[in-house]
Amino acid sequence: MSHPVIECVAAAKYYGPAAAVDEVSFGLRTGEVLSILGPSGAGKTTLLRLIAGFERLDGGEISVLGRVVSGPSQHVQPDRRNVGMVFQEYALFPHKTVAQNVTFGLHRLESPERDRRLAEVIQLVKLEGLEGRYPHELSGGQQQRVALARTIAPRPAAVLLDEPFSNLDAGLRREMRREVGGILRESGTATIIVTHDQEAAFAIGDRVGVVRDGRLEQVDAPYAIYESPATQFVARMVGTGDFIDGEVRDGMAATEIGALPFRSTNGTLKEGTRVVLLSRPDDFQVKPDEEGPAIVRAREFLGEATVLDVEMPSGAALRCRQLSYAAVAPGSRVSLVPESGKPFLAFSEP
Amino acid sequence: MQAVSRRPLPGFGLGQHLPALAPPIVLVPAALVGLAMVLPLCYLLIRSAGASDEAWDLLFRADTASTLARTALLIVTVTAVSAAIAIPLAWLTVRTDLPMRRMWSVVSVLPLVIPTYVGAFLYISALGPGGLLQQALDPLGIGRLPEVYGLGGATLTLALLSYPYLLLTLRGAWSSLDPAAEDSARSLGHGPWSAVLRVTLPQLRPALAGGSLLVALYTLSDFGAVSLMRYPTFTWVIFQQYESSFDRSIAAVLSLVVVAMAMVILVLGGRTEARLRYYRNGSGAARRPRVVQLGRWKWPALLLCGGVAVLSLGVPSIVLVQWLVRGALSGEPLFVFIEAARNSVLVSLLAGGTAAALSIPLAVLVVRHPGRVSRLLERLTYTGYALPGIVVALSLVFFGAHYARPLYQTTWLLVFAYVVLFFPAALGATRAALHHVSPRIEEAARGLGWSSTQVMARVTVPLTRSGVLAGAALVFLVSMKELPATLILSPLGFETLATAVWSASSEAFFARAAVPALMIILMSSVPMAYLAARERPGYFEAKGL
Repeated sequence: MSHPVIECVAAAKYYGPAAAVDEVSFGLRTGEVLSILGPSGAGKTTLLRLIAGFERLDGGEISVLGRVVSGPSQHVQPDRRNVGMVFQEYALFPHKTVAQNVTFGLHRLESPERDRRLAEVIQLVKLEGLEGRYPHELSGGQQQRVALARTIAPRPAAVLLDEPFSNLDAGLRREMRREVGGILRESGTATIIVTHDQEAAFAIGDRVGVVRDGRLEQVDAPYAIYESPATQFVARMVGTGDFIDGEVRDGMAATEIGALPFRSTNGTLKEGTRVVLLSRPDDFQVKPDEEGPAIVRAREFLGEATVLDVEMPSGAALRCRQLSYAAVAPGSRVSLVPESGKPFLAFSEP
Repeated sequence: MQAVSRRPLPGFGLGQHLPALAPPIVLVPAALVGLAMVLPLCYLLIRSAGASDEAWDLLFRADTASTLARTALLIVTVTAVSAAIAIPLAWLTVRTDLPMRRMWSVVSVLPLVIPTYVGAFLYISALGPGGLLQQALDPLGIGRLPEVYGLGGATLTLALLSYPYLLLTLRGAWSSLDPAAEDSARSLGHGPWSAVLRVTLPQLRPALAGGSLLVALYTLSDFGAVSLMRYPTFTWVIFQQYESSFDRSIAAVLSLVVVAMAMVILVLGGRTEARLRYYRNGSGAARRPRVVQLGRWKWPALLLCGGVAVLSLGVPSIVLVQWLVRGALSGEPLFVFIEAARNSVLVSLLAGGTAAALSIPLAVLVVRHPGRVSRLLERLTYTGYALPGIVVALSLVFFGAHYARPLYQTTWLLVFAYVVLFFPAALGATRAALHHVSPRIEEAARGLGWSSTQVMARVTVPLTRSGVLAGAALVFLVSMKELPATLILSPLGFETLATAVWSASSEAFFARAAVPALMIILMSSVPMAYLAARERPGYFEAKGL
């Protein structure tokens, strides 16, 4: 298994002059779960449909287990790709029972073997006893499990999930996220999950890819994405973050709230380079200070922590998290002290 | 503010990941169907091009102009009267607390099962000289009644029997309107009437135009009622020419005028077609619109509903029963019509089945692979909907006699005519059903290792079955009632219920017409009941009825 399960090389799809998917390249490893995160309209679903074979590629190449399935001159039909897809709205066959739905893709198996696989998959998704039900007789979470079972039953090389949790309410979403993650890991299938929900992407994915306007901006392990986002867009997509303008001076970033240590995403920066620093809510201590440069405008009590809206001299806002007992009252002047020696990530024009 | 958050296009609209390229299994049959549908029109054009000078001279004579004027006048009066009946009935049955609302909404659609030639002879014997009304009024010393023949009688018959087309279109649109739009108009400071005028009625305009279009085309193509009511419109004149003249190209040339009139109606009906589809696919059933409390207005409302029901159903029923009794007493044979009934059912079943089966590839093409090709083919199939039965029948006679001798004088040509005439109804029903099936479901099956042909057989067809059946039922219903094409294309000695009613009633043997008329009404009621039970009024409004 030296080949990636799925490999996209400069895959592109255009609708008229606009690129829905713009030269996307990545490889999906055996047993890996890759989350593709991006705002709606970023081309995530189109990317999945290209891999599944429902759309034709306009440029680049897609291969499954080393075999080119979409390329400049070839297009393997979706039923011949060995790639399973779970649709956002599940797309269960309303005229078939749970068992008939799940065995729909097992038509090449002999009957005893088919029954064995059905039982196996039903057990995996915990739907025992519901085999005879019709889709409309199931709850949203159960429908999703049927969709998942139907897709993994034929043992596809890879499973693609399109916004799997968007049709569930908040409570169920958390539960299904954990459950689907478990099922996928247990089945050992390589998986791509497309979502606009950052929490889900991070909770399930071994790696996370962030898409913007059809381009894949970064693929990395969740913590690496959070810690070292490659672009400001990625930084904004993952976690809460604010940006502080500054300029490189004496190895520090000079900003309106003082000189701050930084690490650059673009290698060494020359003196005088304009930079934008990423500030996460825990990066500053907020200290009451009559002479301080900033003012607390509002505070939001979240239990043990309180988030302060701090206005900097330029009027730009910064969100800072504090322990609630020490929270500063709105209207106070404050100074902002970096939490530790940890340098701020600095973005700059290349 | 919620009003604007409504999805612009319910169902699965364009641009949502739909492949433009259709597989050959869909494209080839769809293209063949499309081409077959325009065959009559093309042949008519060819035929008229080669028409005699005499035929062309006739076109520019004064009688042609007056026939044109009479036809146009009838279309206007029937459409206006239908609208006057349908608009209040639609509102009452959709938006108010009218007592027995469900019953009224079924009853108000029932006149659809009465063919116009049956209706016409029943109204004549009710209101005509020596008829029921006159007998009832005689003791009061009222000896003379207004003339039933002519424009008045034709308008009465056609409006009372065709207003349901407009009613159903309006009702579908009205119940799928988002009540939130009206509510938000109210919250923006408009009174109830102002909200209806500024928000509701403008939204109904496409439905009103679309429904009127159906009524207008129905009137243009009617042959039975205008003949019996002695109001010679084009269909009647064409039939006379065809029956009496050796020069059949005269009929062809006159048919061209009718085609031109149909085009004018279609253009006047405007580009409402695309918007009509919006209502048909609306998911409005789930959302109950606000109910208007009628209060004291309940009584006039009931009077209106009851009055329409008495005129459109009650009077014809009473007269029909009276003729049945009179016929039975005078020893009219009852069983001679078994053969005709069998023939009617047979050809109508064939037409319904064929049209429904052919509608599947075309519906898949139109819904799943939108594009220039599918739009063009869809348009082509509307030809029959715009062409009166008599025109389609004539061109098929010409065509059969010249190029398709083996088909000429067989029932197959008749079935073909029905399919051409009523195909849009089948297509509309299948298409609506397909709109409710997510393309993702078919893709899921593809992803599970089935080819596109297998997916069509195992997923698409089973899921749209009820729509396809509804389409077949509709085509069956309208084929049972069809008269002019049946008269012209029936093989020698092939009698159907429609031709039996016609031959008896055109010679005023009403007692003999009563039994086959009743049989048509009863047999049309079966598919009608099936369609009503589906509670999807949108299907009736499918074009081409």
